[in-house]
Amino acid sequence: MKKTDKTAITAALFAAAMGAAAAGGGSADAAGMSEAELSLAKFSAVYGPPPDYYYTDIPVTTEYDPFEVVPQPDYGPIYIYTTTAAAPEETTPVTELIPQPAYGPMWTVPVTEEVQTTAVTAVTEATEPVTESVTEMIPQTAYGPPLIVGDLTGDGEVDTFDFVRMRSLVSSLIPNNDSVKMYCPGADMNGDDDVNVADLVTLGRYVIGRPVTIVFRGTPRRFNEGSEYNRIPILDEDGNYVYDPFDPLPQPAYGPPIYVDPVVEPSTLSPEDMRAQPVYGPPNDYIVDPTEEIPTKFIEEPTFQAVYGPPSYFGLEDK
Amino acid sequence: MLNTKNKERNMEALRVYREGLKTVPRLRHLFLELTLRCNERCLHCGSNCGDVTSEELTASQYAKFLAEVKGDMGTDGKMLCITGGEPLLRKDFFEIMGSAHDLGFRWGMTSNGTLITPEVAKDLKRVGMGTISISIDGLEGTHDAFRRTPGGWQKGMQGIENLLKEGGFKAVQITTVVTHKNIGELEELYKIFNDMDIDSWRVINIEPMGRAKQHPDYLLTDDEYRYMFEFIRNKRIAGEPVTYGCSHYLGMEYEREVRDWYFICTAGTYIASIMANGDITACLDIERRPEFIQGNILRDRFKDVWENKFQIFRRDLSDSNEKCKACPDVKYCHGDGYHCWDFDKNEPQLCFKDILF
Repeated sequence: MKKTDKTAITAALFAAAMGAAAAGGGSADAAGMSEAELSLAKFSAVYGPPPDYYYTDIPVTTEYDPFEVVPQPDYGPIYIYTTTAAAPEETTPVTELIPQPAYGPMWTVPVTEEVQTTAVTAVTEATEPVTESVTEMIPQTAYGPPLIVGDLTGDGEVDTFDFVRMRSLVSSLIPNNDSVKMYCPGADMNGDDDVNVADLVTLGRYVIGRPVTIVFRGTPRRFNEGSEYNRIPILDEDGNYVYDPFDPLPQPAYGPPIYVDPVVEPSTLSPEDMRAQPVYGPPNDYIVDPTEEIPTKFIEEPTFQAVYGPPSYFGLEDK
Repeated sequence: MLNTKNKERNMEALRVYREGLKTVPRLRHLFLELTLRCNERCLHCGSNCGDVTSEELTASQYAKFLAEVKGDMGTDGKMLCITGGEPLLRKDFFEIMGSAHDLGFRWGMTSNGTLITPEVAKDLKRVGMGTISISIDGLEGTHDAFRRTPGGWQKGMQGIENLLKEGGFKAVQITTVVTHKNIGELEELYKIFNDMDIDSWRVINIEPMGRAKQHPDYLLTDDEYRYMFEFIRNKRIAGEPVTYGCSHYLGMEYEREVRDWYFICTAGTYIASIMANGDITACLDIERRPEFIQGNILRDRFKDVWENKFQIFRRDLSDSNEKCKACPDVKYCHGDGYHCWDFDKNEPQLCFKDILF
């Protein structure tokens, strides 16, 4: 179809409207912006531009060495560290709020008796203890925010930010290809394995509180010939996370997937296999006791500054 | 998304302008319904083409009429819109349009494209066709079933290709009537049309009129309306020449965003139509009722009819409906388009309130 001056002017009008929102500040009415545009402007002023949802330059392999540092993506490290914290002798169940990264979603880790030997509950494992608190827990992915259908910005919420992002996606302002579908499964609101205007309408109605049906067909999404799966908690109309505890691993929204041999029973995973990844910023050392000495390993490693936002000083509040 | 203050300002200006048009109308589009014959039998046809007898004017009667219009009103700022039925079914089509072209009228037409061979495309250019809109109502199977014409899609697409190959037209447009059956095909259609060198793609919803009233299963649901408008808007955000039609007030959110103008029904103020038998009316999409026939070109002078009659169209439909009068959007909607009004019940047949706004 022919692009003309008229179509260019129309596109420019829309771009100007969205650009006015990105410039931030002011009231929606004063700037002639919608509430969604104002929200995006405020979000961008604090966190920078929302992240992209796919990588094409990260090698995807079927083998994974848990002790290997995975190549760093554009933002946020993919540092995988195993905890070396000593197992506490006490067996009293503890629910501990892990030190919150400077930004990114908070996670809570239910610690039960059965995982007491590690500083970190294997939130990535589907074990019986996990199921007890599944509705309270935001499953932690290797890095990046947990996957929620409708959550395109990765902030753990389904709101107007996501709608604006979805609109950009659907209107082809950002590439919409198989990589997006693969690494942004949360954009597919109706389970048809495609991201299109139908998903935009569903998300828009959900955001403004109208009744919708969000469909996740439950089919595990394969990322390669291996047997890796992602587990996606579904946000239902009541705002609860619906989560199948017996699915194996949650899949990060972006970055390489987590690979675990599916024949290995999750309950048999060793502490070395349990890895918790911060959303972005330097790696987390999941030390239950924040006064415990930081392993030298972390001190020697360079601190990675996230692409945007302040650096995280996990467990280093005194610094 | 676009600046609502600007929209309100422009729509207020348009409202004032429309009030002026009611007293001082300006003819801009003169529709000529050359025939009610058609080689397709679309389920949604508003004119019931193919099912009704077509009394047709001769080429010389058209020539005399157009010369009279030119003499009385001039040709500046006026455009002939040739429609039907399928206008190309008339054997004397090029004689009629040759006369119009010789008189200096700009003109465009609607067609199903099935009869546009390379020779026809050449002749259309010769007689001065400026714009054309070809109807493609879905992917091949859907289109053929909807228009009850096996092979219609292939022929229509070939007709478009022939026009594009000939070139030299101001605009070649495809029009798609969106129904419950084909709404899932919009993205596929976009991909197909995007690869063609057409000037625009008009996407409009099926209206509950004409033959479509007998097929309520083709009408869109509320969600499907929303999907369709979001589809159009998102294509326009990306700079694509996709547009909605002239019908319906869409509310503050979608006005100006799915088309390059704001809603205004210009039936009887900008638009007049000559039916196949010479009857004078406003818009050919309006339900055919005796009170809407303002005269006939075989016995009346068109200029006199245009200036002294048409009062039935130069008013707000909302005045005859209490619910419309009480609606806060009435000053912009004025009862919506004439062709969408149910004149028996005095209410709109399709109102987007509570669907879009």
